[in-house]
Amino acid sequence: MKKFILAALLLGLAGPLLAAGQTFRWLENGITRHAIIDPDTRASTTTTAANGLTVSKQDKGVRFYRTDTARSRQLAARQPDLLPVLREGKTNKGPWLLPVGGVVVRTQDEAALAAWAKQQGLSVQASAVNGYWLVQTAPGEAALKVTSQLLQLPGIQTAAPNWSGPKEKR
Amino acid sequence: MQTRHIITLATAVLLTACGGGGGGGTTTANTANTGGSNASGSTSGSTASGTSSASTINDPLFARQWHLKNTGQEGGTAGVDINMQPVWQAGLDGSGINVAVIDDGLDINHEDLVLNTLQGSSLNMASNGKASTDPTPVNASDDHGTSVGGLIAAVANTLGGRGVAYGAKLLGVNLLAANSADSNDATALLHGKGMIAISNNSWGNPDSDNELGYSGPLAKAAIEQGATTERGGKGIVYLFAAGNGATQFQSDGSVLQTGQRSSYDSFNNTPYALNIAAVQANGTPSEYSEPGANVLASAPSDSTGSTLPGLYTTTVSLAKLNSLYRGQNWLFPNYRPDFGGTSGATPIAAGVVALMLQANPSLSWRDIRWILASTARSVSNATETGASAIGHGVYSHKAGFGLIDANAAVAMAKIHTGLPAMKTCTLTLASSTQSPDNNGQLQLAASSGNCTISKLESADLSLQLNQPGNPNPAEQLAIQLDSPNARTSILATPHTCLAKNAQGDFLVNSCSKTYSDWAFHSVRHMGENPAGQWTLKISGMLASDNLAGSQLVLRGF
Repeated sequence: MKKFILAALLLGLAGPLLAAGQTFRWLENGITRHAIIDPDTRASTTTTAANGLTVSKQDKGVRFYRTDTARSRQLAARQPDLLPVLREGKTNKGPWLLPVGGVVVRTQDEAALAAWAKQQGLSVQASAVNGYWLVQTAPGEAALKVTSQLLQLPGIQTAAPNWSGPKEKR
Repeated sequence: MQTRHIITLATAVLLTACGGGGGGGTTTANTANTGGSNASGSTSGSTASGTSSASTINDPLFARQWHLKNTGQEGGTAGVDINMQPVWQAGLDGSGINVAVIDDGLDINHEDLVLNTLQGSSLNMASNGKASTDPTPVNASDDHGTSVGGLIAAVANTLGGRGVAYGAKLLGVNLLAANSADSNDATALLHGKGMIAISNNSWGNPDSDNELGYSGPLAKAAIEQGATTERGGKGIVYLFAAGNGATQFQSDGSVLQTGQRSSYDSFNNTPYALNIAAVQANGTPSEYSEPGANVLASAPSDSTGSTLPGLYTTTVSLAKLNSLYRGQNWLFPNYRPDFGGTSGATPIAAGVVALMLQANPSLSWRDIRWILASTARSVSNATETGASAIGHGVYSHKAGFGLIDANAAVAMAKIHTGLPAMKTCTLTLASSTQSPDNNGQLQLAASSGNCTISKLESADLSLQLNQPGNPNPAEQLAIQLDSPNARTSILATPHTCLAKNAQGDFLVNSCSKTYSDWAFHSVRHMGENPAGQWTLKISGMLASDNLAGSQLVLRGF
């Protein structure tokens, strides 16, 4: 956990790689997908209170907090459990996705993945599915950043944040 | 294990398999249910070891379980059930078959489930202080999975009701009580591999907003792995609820027809999902049940706000106690009278699959799907219909190939020698950017060419449809796929998205997601010879819209 907080702090000090309102892209089985980073909202899947923020919406175990772009950047560094909210579709009001930590990877060049991860000080674990890996990252911006970096590696077929998205009982 | 008070009806309900004994039994059950007078009577001292079997049914709530035997109780139509009893009479009860219940939990110590749960094999994915193999809910609101489990495999005894496959064994995974993530979905969908033959998934993308749903790459890969490699390649049978979003209640009690379809749900569009719709006790489709070309078949469940009955099944201990049901207090802890949704239909289908696999363990998931489609019965008032090449001759996007018939399915399972190896043919409908005509329509065709499939099992259509200048993406589009046999998969219809206000009303909202990378799954053409020209038709496009790519993957033998 301390390692994750440190990573988040470093990310905050370095400035966000991805600005609120920006389109974030990832890869699934060779197809590029995208979502918009909601500039006005952060979310939490834990019970930690968000200092000074009010819950604007709750979707089962996820609390959404209204914020603004500048504050969102501050929160990225200071409260790593407050996650950026990404919105699928054409607007920043579409269905939500949260990067809860980790990046799902499938690659034709596992050696390159392993070497890169070692260089970055990141752990790669086998997932529950044959041929898929989970690069361990902190939740939030760290996961987005690692995803973007992985897209540059040779042989990558899938590099996607370990997304949390809405599901319902029927 | 918690001590549970066991309250039985005033007299045991004894039904013989031959005569049903419905009159006396029903009267007894009705007496117990009206005012619960018998609930105040003595406990009989029946224990979980009390016996019940195919020929002597002592489960006190069995007479209420119209989905197993519909005698017209509570206003239903006699005969609208899954035709179970001949299967039980033949000695089949699901023994030897293990089923995963992926849900919000499973009360593995429930008095009517404990003997049918694989102790130590479940998975607790929530951080709730319980053991890692104990998915028993800690919140009363997480009672969904326990009800699902009871419909599959509640024990045949002197307690509650009984499951369709009352000899099968369950394990539970409380995915929906844990933090959602793609990796967790995959873990849940493959939990119990090596042990389970069936995975029941009475959940999916949100039903309430009409947006295209999302499923992660790991979850999709998990289903593919489970279906293609487990059970020595015969695969885990993945059943998914088709979705309940075709109607929504407004705050004034009125019913909104939403236009939601199962084909807008990502999990339901995986090529390996057996999607189950709901039919209510009068034999017509439940209004809320979402239509789609990916709907395989229907099973019994409740209705939308009518007087027709719900499903009687297990629940977490006090969840439904004293709640009103049909004007009276429900007085039986550990059970509920009102389960439903496509959530309820799906485990009923899962139970039938367990019986089929007990009858013939060599069946693959493809065989199961083929047999269910071949043996399903016609559903009254089913909509979006067309001729089918399999089964009773009609496919309905609302009800699939029809209402599951356990007796017919098991009979066919017993003699089925297995489908030949699957073949796959890929047709390219659009390899370069295609724009609509002046009427906003786009029609593309592709020939099956050298494809040697003679009987189709499924068709999967991918679309990369761009709508850059369209303020209302997806909403005006109608998308259909026509086979060479002039049969149509209705994939999308014009619809709005929805947002719920503070008063609980559903309001029209612009859709945000597009078909920029979408895959539709269709079982509508099962049994057809796919030779010839396939045609994709899209209407409602703006001049600025374009189709960047589209492929059709045909699977069959």
